Amino acid sequence: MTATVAAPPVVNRPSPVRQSLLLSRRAIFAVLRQPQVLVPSIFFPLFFAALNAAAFDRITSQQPAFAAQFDSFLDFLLPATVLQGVLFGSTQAGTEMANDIENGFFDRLLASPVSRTSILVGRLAGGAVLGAAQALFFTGVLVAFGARLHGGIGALLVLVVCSALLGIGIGGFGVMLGIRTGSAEAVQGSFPLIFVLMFTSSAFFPRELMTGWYEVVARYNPISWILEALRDLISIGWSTGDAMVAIAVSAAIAAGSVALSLRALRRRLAAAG
Amino acid sequence: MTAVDARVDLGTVRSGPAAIIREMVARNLRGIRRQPATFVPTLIMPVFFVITFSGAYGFAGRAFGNGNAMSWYAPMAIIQGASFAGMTMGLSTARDFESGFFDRFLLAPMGRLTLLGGALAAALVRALLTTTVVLLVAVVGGVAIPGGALGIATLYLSALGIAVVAALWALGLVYRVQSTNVGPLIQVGIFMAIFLSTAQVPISAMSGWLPGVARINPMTNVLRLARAGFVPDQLNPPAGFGVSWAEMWPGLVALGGTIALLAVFALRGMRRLTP
Repeated sequence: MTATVAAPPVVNRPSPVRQSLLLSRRAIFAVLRQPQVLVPSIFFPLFFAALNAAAFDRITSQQPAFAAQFDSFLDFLLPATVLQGVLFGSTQAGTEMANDIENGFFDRLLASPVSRTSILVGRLAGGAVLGAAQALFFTGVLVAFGARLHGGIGALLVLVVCSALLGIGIGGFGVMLGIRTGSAEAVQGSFPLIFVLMFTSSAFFPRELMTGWYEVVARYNPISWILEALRDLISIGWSTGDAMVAIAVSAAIAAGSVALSLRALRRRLAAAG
Repeated sequence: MTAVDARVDLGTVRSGPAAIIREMVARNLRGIRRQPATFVPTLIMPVFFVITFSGAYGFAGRAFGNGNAMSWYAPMAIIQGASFAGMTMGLSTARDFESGFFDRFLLAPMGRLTLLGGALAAALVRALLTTTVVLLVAVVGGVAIPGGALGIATLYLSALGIAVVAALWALGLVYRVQSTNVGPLIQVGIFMAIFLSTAQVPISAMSGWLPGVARINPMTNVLRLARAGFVPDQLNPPAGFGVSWAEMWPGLVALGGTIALLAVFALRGMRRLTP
């Protein structure tokens, strides 16, 4: 009697890139399947754009420093509206990661032959795609209501790239919190920080019109650097320097948050043994 | 053990509505101590609004009547804080529904109106706390109150009124949905009511569609009442500082009318509840 040795089963393991693509598709569908999650990050930026344009257009048009640069308050608000939507929406990546941990899906991913980095890349790539889509949507709506893009298609591209990078950047902070706490509530509790980040920047008013300590805080807020470069691109016209500043600052925020979330993932894996 | 003691043990002795309301307020305040995360943001956000709005919009001071943006924004932030107090009362009731605690309230020997009264009283206590803290921050930040004691009284009156309005709106929705998922709807209603008014700038400074909406929004008159002691009346500029009856009555009517309407909304929602 001869013993037959069974051939090992063929495991069709996708490449890490394919794994990341599959996981990012899952992240995008997870958001699209819950429209109530998207509504606040779409409704509130558009509501505040409409409200602030009607409330402050007359006052700001009487300020020479403002009137010299912007045709209308809506033009001024365009990049802030886009970033507001992206920042508010990006916290969802962290919430979803925490949900995965709470409901055990994260442990099932760890037990499967999925690359650890793909878990993170998939989640953040989903945030980047949603950020870019939000940028196109908000720009379309505001242009339909009279905002103008003096920087043309180049300015729009930079706006989309910055939104995608900030989708990664803010999403990365959320993911880091989600991994560290494993609590969706804790991630959602970080939302006021995003609010503070926006309100202490030049999102809603030009720094030239601010005074005192508020102007100093806004000057050193990195969100102001991105917004001001984007505003120049949108309201004045194409400038390679402004495009580089906006992309570089967004990329730096994204790199920092990816590093932090990677570290949190490594620690969690080490703790799990 | 005597028969009387046994009756007490079974909990058949009914307390008066005032005692029940007092206990509900005390329970809510204990909740703040146990879970400060549910209260602290409602206190910090209005303070943050006073500081940031005044810093960002300070350049437009003249548009606010007295050149001081903080005098314009402090009453608005106080009204917002009071609305948060009412809103969180609704959310805390929603959590009671989810945990099953509210069913025990419904089974207890007390009137439904007492249940609603307890929630409103707790919202009023929370609003008193936030109003006092934000007002102190504003005064320390340099806000003057030329309207004096009457100006402070109208501010507290409007803040407490808005706390009741927000609580009735939130409770009306929570009694129907019985879940914290209704939170975003509560927030959107309150945010829209506040911001589609003179919350940010006077009507004379607005343009486009907003002045038409702000004029018919009852919140505009409530804010006028809240600001009466802080900035000159926007509708009758020659009146200058000081609280006049002309500034007060539209706000009082707006509060009374909104409270009456939302009380009906909340009571109808409550009537659907069965133990």
